[in-house]
Amino acid sequence: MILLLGSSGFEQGTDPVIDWLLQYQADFVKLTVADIAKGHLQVDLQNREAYFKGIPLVAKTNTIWYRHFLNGLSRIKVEVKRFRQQLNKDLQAEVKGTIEVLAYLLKDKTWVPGPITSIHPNKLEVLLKAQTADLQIPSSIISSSREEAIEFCKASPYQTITTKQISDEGRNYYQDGDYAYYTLTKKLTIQELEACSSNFFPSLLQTYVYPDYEVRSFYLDGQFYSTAIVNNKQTAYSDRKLINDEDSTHFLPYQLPNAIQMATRKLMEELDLRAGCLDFIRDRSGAYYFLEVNPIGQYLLESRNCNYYLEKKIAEYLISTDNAPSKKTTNVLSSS
Amino acid sequence: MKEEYHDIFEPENQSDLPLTHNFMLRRLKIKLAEMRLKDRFSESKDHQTESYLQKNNHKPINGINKGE
Repeated sequence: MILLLGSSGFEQGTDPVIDWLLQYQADFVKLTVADIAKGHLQVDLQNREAYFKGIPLVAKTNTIWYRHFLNGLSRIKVEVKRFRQQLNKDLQAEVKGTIEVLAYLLKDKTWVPGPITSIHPNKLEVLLKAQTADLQIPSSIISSSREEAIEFCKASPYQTITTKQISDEGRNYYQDGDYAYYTLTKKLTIQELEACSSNFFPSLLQTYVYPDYEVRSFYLDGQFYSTAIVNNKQTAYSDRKLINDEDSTHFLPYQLPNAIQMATRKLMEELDLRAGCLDFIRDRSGAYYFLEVNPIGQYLLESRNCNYYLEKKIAEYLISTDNAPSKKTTNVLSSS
Repeated sequence: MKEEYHDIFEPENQSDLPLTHNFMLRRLKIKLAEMRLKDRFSESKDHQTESYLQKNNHKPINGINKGE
């Protein structure tokens, strides 16, 4: 059985895969944090088993697919008149503790993209491991000094640097009336830095890599499904999300050079990940820079533009690792 | 999307923030909802225009909007 650890609502990277699991009549069950908070999970430590709606998860599960599962923790809230903040914190901790023991009971199963401890790797640690795996990375510092930032900027190619959040954990929109505010990677020149306060909260700064184009690669157990994101305007944008919707942006099937693929496989093994979305920039000299990996990143935009049908491939991969007899029915889709 | 940045925090807090939070991008919540919720897709006129559908290889849900 495939155990899907997912979120309660529609999730664009999960539901299309579920459609294929249903099509293939795969044996799977989806568990969410809300299910645990509602008491649908019973844990029996004596027998080292956990039951979800009566299904023995340890006995029956072979493969676990984790996708945006822990996001549900912050939604565990009760409306009480007093002590709301501390109570909700306690309840979330109780569910988190239950999840931790469940993960321990299931630790010997096949986890996709990887064990729960690998799902949210530290970005900077990943950069260091990428460098060890022979991938090129942007020079990076964490600083809280404007003067230091300016010196770093002056020493950088194009005298431009970028800043982005160190961690995406708990990251969300700031909502205010009809608007929502958020941060992306921001390009900074010396002039912009001079307008900042002399000191600031510790911030990640990186040398700006001027893109010829970016490459987003979906990695699945050694296979790469890569997309080059090419912008005709060739302007020096700071974050690809700003240009995704432009007519001058094109998504093209792409193959990373063998050396980059080999180094990336080495990195993913080191990170104990069998799947994830990797971001690279190919600069104007042809060099590839590794930026980051998101084990539970979104893949649909690139998949649909390049006809990769990744949601089908993920479903087929989960089924193949599950060791359950395939109940595939014959239809025109299964041959594509 | 335009790179328009907004100061949503008080000026006296600037030194308390990471540099990222001095440059906040803004979107209309309804636009975010259209991007994030499947069931809003069919209600979004932007996502039903001829040029968007042609570029993204989709079939129209409610009929083609000749807006763009």
